[in-house]
Formats: sequence, structure tokens, C-alpha cells
Amino acid sequence: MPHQKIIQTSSIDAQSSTRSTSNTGTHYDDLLYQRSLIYKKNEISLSAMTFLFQEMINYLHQSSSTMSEFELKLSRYGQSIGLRLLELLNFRASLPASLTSIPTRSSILFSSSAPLTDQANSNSTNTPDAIRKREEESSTNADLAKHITKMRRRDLKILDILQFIHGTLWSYLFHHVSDDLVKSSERNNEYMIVDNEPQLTQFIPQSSKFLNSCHFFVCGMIQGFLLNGGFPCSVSPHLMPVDGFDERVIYLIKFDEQVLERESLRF
Amino acid sequence: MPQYFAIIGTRDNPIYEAEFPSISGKNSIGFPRDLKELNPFILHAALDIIEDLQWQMNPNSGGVTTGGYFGTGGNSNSNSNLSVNNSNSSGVGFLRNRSNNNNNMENCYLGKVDHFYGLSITAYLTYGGMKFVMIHGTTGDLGGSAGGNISGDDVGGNASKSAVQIDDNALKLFYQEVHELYIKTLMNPFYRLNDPITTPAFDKRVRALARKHIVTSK
Amino acid sequence: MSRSRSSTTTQSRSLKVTGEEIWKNKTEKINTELFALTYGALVAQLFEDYDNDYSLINERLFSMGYNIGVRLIEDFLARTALPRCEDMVRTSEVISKCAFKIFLNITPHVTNWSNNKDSFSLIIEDNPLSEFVELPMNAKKQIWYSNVLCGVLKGALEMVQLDCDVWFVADILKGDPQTELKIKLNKILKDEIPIGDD
Repeated sequence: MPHQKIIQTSSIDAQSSTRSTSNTGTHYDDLLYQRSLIYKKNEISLSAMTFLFQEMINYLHQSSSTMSEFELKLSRYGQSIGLRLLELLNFRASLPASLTSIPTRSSILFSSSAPLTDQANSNSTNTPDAIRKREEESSTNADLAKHITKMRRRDLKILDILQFIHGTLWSYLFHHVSDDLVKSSERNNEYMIVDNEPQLTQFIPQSSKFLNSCHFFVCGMIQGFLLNGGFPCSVSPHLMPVDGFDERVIYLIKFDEQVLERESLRF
Repeated sequence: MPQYFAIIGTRDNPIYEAEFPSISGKNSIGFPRDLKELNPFILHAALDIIEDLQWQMNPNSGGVTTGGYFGTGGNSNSNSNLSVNNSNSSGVGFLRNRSNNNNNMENCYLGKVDHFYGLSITAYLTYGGMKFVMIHGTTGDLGGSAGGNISGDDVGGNASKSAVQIDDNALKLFYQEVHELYIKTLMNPFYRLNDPITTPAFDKRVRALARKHIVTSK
Repeated sequence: MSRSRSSTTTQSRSLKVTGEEIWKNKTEKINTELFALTYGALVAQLFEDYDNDYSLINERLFSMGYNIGVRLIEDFLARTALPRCEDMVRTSEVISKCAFKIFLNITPHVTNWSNNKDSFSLIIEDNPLSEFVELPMNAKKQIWYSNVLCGVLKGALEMVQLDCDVWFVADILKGDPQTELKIKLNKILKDEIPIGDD
């Protein structure tokens, strides 16, 4: 088609093409966008995660002078994750069923008949050529949006977004939906998400006076998710053991007044 | 006919801007210079409308026909509820239908949200509240598929008949694919929310998507 | 000669099986992406806190890893009940087939042995830490994003009486063709009461 030949590259296009030939480092610039957002369902051990979490807490402890400073910083970590998951999980929820995930690595690579060898697997190198070849082969996986016929609706109501947190977000994080989602009977801007057996803080002794503060990480994730979704709020943890669940925690969500006003005006 | 595309952050700050010139013969046509200078202001005026639409149940202007539809296009169903917040002080807004009980329609893609002397402005919202906005220049057809939908007319009757036609299907795909690029950018831990997106790789891909979905040859 | 080689192979295979079995049956699991995002938030914060002083950041990541490693080894030994390694070759097998497997569900390749078998490389593919990551341009040359892994290995090995140096030599985040770290034995530490004996 004639117009394809004379499509003008922008000046930025011209710059980037010279840059990428002269500096192999920027080849990697591209890799970020060649990767797929598809959910690979990979797993690591909870133990590795809790070791990392504990070290993160230690680091924050050292750099905080008060408990509330510690809690705020820990919550901010969570918020930066929550805002990313808001976009990622909603996007993935928009994908057609055939693209929701691909099998885990382990089921592909570790069949029992795999021969034991000291040599690197031939299709597992990361030379630029090998990368490009793999990317071409998996190019259908790398660009998912074109397969979406209908984007998931943005959640506009409190209950809708809380349901998404209780169901989709919690399953993504912890392999199960949250143990309860409750609206306060006393205050109409308060809701609660319950976790009977919080995983990340399992190894922190119950007697520790820092235990409650450590829950601010998950609080931050919830808060980041809600805030960026247009529901400003504060989220705080409250330890409430019941029979059989000594470590049970309630995440208390208090929505800003403007959220309730909007909800009553619009819906 | 060129397009001007911008991604606006949560503090109304542009984090990415690009102009997609159109091609005519051997020339690429950008916006006329005086109009080009107005583009950021035009976008900004559209932001108020977008923020209003953000919290409407069915903000789509009717172009996307998955699920319900708006009849002959726009707000000709006078029986429906009118939008409560009809902020049209500038005189270039739209009245929106609010179809009752229709929760199936998408609300990321907003379709045409405003116009300005024959330029059309379309928009798209991400889940985190980032606004993708595009100003479409005048005349000619957008998109390859037959039957581009005509967006709803405004009640004020401002030069809407000569407003550029929007192919919602092509545009929606464009916005969706840019949305995917944005999410990949966002997932990088070193990218902070509302940071400008400056990597050439992103720009290159957005322009390629524009060429793919928004064919602007005359 | 072939007999000793096959017994080494048998040992390797049984390590591999051990690793897989523990991963499958005795390990509570969690989403890798959460792990990657958490680590990413931590590293990004270090960039701010240390004002882009990259060598300090690398050191901090290493020392965090070290703190993890000295505790992680106990978890590892408790779960695998493996006896002490006789040499670095055996150590490399245990690290790649068991340790990485049961904690991170990956098995790095062991390669690039030195002539006297006191140092080797681990080639790490599908590094779970670097999912979604792209380093800022000015950091690319100097930051070892996954430096925490070196610290973990150093700390863990020290607890089993092996004083090693552990360091990255290549990282795909830097544009290198692969991610590779080296482990070199300096000396065997004076025996304390060996773990496992009484």
C-alpha cells in the first residue's frame, strides 16, 4: 500500500533506531514491552516470601523512629503494589477464557522423563537471537489487548470494588477468597475484610508487639487498590482472635465522606 | 487529518503526548500551527467532562454496540433520565443518556466526549484513573471497517454536522492496546505513578498502534 | 571410572528428586508475582533512600540477603535433612537442585568450574525476582538487581562452615545474554559442632 512506504517516522522514532543499533543496552528497553501480561501462575515457597517480608520489616524498623512512621512506610510499600494490581487484575479479568493463563513452568519443564544433563538446555539461552525467536513464537501471548472484545467494567460502587478485592485480589494473593466481607452496622462508611490465617505474618511471634503493625503491608495493598480506583479511604488492621484462629486479623476500611456522597448522588 | 493523543495522569498532568500526522500523497499533515497550540487547552477542557463521565453508569456515547445501545445515536430518547451533573458551562458538552439497569456496557472506552469547531475529542479511562484522550482533526474517514458510527449530536447544535466521524471499533482497540502498554510500564517497580513516560520503546509502539488502527490517508 | 560417574549421576538424580518431592509435597506456596512486586518495591525504595548511590544499594541488598541466608539455612536443613557436603561439586548440586528448587522453584545450571573445582557459576533463568523489571538507564551499568541472592548464599554457606565469595557477573536486566553468579570457596571454617551431630 503506497501510504505505508511514505509513513513518516517521528523524530523520536529516528533517534531510537540509531540508539538501539549503537547501544545493545537499549535492546533491553524493548524487552519490557515484549513480555506478556499473561498470568503464568508461577509459585515460590511461602517461606522465601516470609523471609523477604521479615527482612523488609527489619529494614523499615531501622529507618523509622516511631511506630506510626514504620506503619506508614510499610503501608506505602503495600500501596505501590495495590495500585499495580488494580490495573493488572482488571486487565486480566477482561481477557477471554482461553487467554486467562498458561500452565506453570514446572509442568512443562519437569516431566519425569527429562534426562539429567550438565549442559544448558538448548532452548533456554538468552542470547538476543534466542530471545527474539521466542518472542516471535509467543507473540500471540505478548499482545493480549487485541483479543479483548470487552474490557471489564471499572467498578463504580463500593460494594462492587470490595467484591473484587474479596474475591479476585485475595485469590491472587493468597489462593483463596477472603474469609469474610462485612459492612459495619454502626457506621456507614466502614467495611471489614477478614483473614482468619494471615500467611505473611505466620512466623512473627504472637507475643510480639509489632505484630499488628506488620499487617499494614496488606492494609496498604487494599488501600492502594481502592484509592487509585477512585475510592479514597484509610485501612487499618485489628487483631481479633476467635476460636481456632489465634492470628485472625480484620482489615478495617473507612471510606472518605466524598465517596459516600458520590454513591448516594449517582447510584 | 491528524490526531493528537495524550495520556493524562491523576493530577491532570500529561505524562505522554504524541501527534500522529496524517498522510496525503507525499506529505504528512500535522495540525495547523495555530490549532496545534490549542491542543493542550482543548484537552484540558475535555477533562472536566471526562471526570463527570467517570462516575456515570453508562458513559459511552453509544458507538460501541456490545450489550445495550442508544437507538439512533445519542440522546434522542427523551424518556430516559438525563444526567444529573450536566456541567456545560462552556457550551460544548453533551447530554448523556443514563440507561437504567444496563450494567453490561463497557465503561473504559468513553467514545466521543466533546468537540471543538469540527474537531472531535474521544477518551478512555483506565482502572487506575489514567485518562487517554485524543483530538481528531477534520474531514475524511477514520478506520478501515465499514459503517463507522456517528457519535451523538449535541443539543446546542454547534457545528456538529461537520464534526469528524469516529470509528469507535478501531479506536477502542487502539485505546485498549495502549492500555496494555501502559500497564506494562506501570508494573516496573521503578516507574512511579504519574511519572512521564519517556522511553522510545513505548513511543515507538504507540505510533505503530496508531498506524495500525487509525489509518489516516486521504 | 564409569562406576564413580554413574554414582555421581545417581546422587544428582536423587537430589533432583528430593528437591522436587519437597517442593511438591512439603512446601506451602505463594504467588511468584507477589514476591517479585514486594522485592521490587523494596529495591525502588532503596534507590530513594540511598539517593541512587549504586554501590551502597548493592551492598545493602547483599547484607539483607546475608541476614536472610543465616536463618534460611536452618529451614533448609530441617526440610531436607541432607548431610554435610563433602566438596564444592556436591555443594553446587545441593544448591541448584534442592535449595533453589524448594525456595524459588527454579533450578539454575551449574557451569564454568575453575580448574581446581573451588568455584563455579550458576546460570539463572526465569529469575522470579526480576519479573516486570526494567532498570533505569543510569542504574543499568552498576546495579545488580538480584544481589540479595548473593547475600543469601553467602550467609547460608557460612553457616555450614563454608566461607565463600558470591557475586554476580552478568544479568539480563543489564542487557547481558544471561544472568550468572559465581560462588568461590575461600576456606573451610573451623568446625563448630557440626549441624546434625550431637
